[in-house]
Amino acid sequence: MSVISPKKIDLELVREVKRGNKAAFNILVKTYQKGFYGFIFSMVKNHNLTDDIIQEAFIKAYRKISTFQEKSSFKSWLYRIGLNQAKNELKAIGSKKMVNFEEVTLKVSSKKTMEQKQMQEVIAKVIEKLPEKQKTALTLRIFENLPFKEIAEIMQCPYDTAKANFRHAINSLRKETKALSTI
Amino acid sequence: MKKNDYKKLLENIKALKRKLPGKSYFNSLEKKVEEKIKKECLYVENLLLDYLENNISKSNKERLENHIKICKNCKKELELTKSLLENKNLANTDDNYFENLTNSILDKTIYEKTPKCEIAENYLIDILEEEKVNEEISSHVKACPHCQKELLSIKNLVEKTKELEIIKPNESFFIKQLNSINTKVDKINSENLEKTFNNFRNYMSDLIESVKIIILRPSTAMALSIMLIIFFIGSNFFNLKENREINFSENNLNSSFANTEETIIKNKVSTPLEDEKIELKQTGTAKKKDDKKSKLN
Repeated sequence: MSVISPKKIDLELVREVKRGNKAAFNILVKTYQKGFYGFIFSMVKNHNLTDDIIQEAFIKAYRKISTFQEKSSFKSWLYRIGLNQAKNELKAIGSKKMVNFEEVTLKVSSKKTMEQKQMQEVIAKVIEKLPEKQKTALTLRIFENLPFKEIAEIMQCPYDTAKANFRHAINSLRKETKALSTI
Repeated sequence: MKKNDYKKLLENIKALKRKLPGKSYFNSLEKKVEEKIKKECLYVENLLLDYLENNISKSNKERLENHIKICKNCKKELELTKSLLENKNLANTDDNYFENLTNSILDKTIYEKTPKCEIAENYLIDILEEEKVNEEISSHVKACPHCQKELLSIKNLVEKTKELEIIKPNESFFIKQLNSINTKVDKINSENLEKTFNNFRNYMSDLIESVKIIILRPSTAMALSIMLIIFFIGSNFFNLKENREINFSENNLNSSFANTEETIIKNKVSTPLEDEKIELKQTGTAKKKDDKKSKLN
């Protein structure tokens, strides 16, 4: 029996949504809700704002589902909408400064030894400080396990730029953690 | 040149740099001198054991002692080596010390970085990600201990990063979010329905309006009326023609019908009549024959 790839299932669901099937959209939301939350939260660092952006992005996707061409995956299309939404929101907030931003968006796993925890804490801190594009590329590659082709689609940049952003992020992680690993 | 001289030189360069800021020439000079001093450290490090075992030439001994006066690191190294040799603090020495020692020895020997490694460094992530890489570089990385070590350390780093988790709220939050998205979707659907209905209504009213406008124009009204008149006249004319054709065909039909009737009668009606007709015909023919005979006569 041939296994149907998740991408194909998504496309089938999207076709159903285009025909007016609400339940199909419900399944899509359920599938991507959590990963999408992680991606947006790592960018905007505020829970309520993340919730707003995600809801807005899903609604936008629903409204514009007829414009979705099946060239890219639904996930990368949705994430692109979310990324643009987040950028706009951050721009709007930038002038007001009314929102409290969390300092930490990454959690260290509790089952580790002290040394490993220390290492992870340093990694988390370095990730928080990375420039926006590098952080986006790193988050999508490592936490969402997306291929560079889709990362480039989401970031709306060439393939090599997406890869370079990831490489720079890893390099700065290495620089910061090198001192720690030699202690 | 002795290390002291290099130190003095370095100080001079630094002083010149302060006096003449913005001259990049001094930066490179400073680096060169610093490297020289480091080289002196390396040279002295190699002499430490010989020095402690009194197996050293006079000139080298002088050089080492002079260097240790200035260089704190080398002095520390000497003391540590001394204590190790005397076996005094060996029991108290940290395990890490030996690990680091072996690592640093390995780094200086088999893991030594080559110029090729520097080029390959930029492609290590591509190799890790199984992207296409220049064959020369990939074969170098496969064979080079330094690059393999780097590759492994990147791999470990990625693994460690993957173990981190983005902080997420609990399940109930996502259920709530899903519900609120669903209600919004429902709203959109009802709005869309209303919109399509309104659009249809608007379209129809527009259509009626436009038809009204067209009809109410005098020129179109005239044209329409003329067209109607032509149509009526035309249809009447065709009606007449058709009526005639129908009459004609009806006559035909009647005659043909009569003929068929006759034939049926001919076929079906019983003999006396037929006999009469035959007789008539025969008499007719007889008469005709008689006429012909008389004519001949």
